[in-house]
Amino acid sequence: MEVSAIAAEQDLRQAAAGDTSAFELLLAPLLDPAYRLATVMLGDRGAAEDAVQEASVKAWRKLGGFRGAAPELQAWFFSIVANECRMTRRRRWWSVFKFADLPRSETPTADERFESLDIRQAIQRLPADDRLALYLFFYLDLPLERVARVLGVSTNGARSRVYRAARRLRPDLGPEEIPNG
Amino acid sequence: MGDDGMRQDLKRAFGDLTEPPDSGMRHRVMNAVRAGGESGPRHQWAVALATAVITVALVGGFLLTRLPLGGSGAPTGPGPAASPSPTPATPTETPSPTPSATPVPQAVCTSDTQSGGGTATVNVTAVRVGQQSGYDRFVIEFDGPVPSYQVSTQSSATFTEDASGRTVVLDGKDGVVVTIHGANDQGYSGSTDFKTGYPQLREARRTGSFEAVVHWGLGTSGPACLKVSTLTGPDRLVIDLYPTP
Repeated sequence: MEVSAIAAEQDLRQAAAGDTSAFELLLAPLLDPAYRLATVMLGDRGAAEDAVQEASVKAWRKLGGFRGAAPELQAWFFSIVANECRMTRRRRWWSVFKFADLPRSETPTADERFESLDIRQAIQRLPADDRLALYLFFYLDLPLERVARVLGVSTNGARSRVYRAARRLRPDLGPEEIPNG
Repeated sequence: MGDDGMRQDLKRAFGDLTEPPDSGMRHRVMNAVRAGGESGPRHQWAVALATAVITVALVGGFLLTRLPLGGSGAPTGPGPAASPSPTPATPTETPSPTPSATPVPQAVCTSDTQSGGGTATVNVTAVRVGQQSGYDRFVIEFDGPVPSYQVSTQSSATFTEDASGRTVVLDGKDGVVVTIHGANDQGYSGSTDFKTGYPQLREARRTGSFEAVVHWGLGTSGPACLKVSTLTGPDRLVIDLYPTP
């Protein structure tokens, strides 16, 4: 086991015993992708930060029940963030998706501009959980097992979700083009 | 476009649609964890034990009040109502980059009442407190446009509860009175008393909710300069408390 992995396991044990500094060390590298995940699901940066903050407090409270190793903490935490986002969406009126609040590509090349805009718009039209599946698999490069953990489905279920969402962006996509992760 | 091409396109698209959090988010998140995490991680055995104890107590209480004892055969009537457990404070509010519905004002150091809002009647959906760099924040969130509100300072942390007339003393030396007309909070199940320990906002407590008028008292560590604003997405009244210069 590498030194960093041993340190992470030690942080996990200390955090589970109530050490907030150890929890912060574990949480810090997860905040950026978690915040982006929440932004993808909610389309609102303020709401995304609220969701990550709530999820962090819940993760801290639930850490005693976490039975995995440190590398599995990422998917576990993302699943809490995703649930928090779903709760936020249920609480509010979200029928108008709010990506208008998000930054746009700053300097796309002339060749990229049209296609890039198209794909962003297509992503925005997807259901939130489909956006989540694509974000986890294509943007974060998570293996399907961890995508499944975040989505709360089986690995096959996650593969189907990613494939279905990707096909909505590219109808000619074949199932073989979604690797097994 | 193969998988690699699609992956690159989607990476670029998600990169365009999102951005990293600002540098203060980690600090704010950890503040919330420390303030809202109470006693830290809850171990499942402890939760199970607590659940079992509560269940036994409830069942025992029910049996004692419902079952005939001493051969009388007569029911003893309803048992005492369970008193609600206090709800812990869960500070969560963070500065939001969401565009505000009104121009964001500067902090005002005055005893004058600051007011605004609309005429519709809405529901309170959340109340939060948060500690930021240089100021503390109190937020009331609604399920519709922010209704009519008045915010004023006072030179004590003593408040009078609406309806009961009871005097309540909050933590702190000075206070801020928040009055909202046209708001119902019967559906709000969060904390009604946040004991924060923040530098400015020491305690926030609901001091009244009657006939669509909601009062909150804020106990402050000293005279506070206020920045009162409303934000949308969701609709909320935001009160930032700064120390006096």
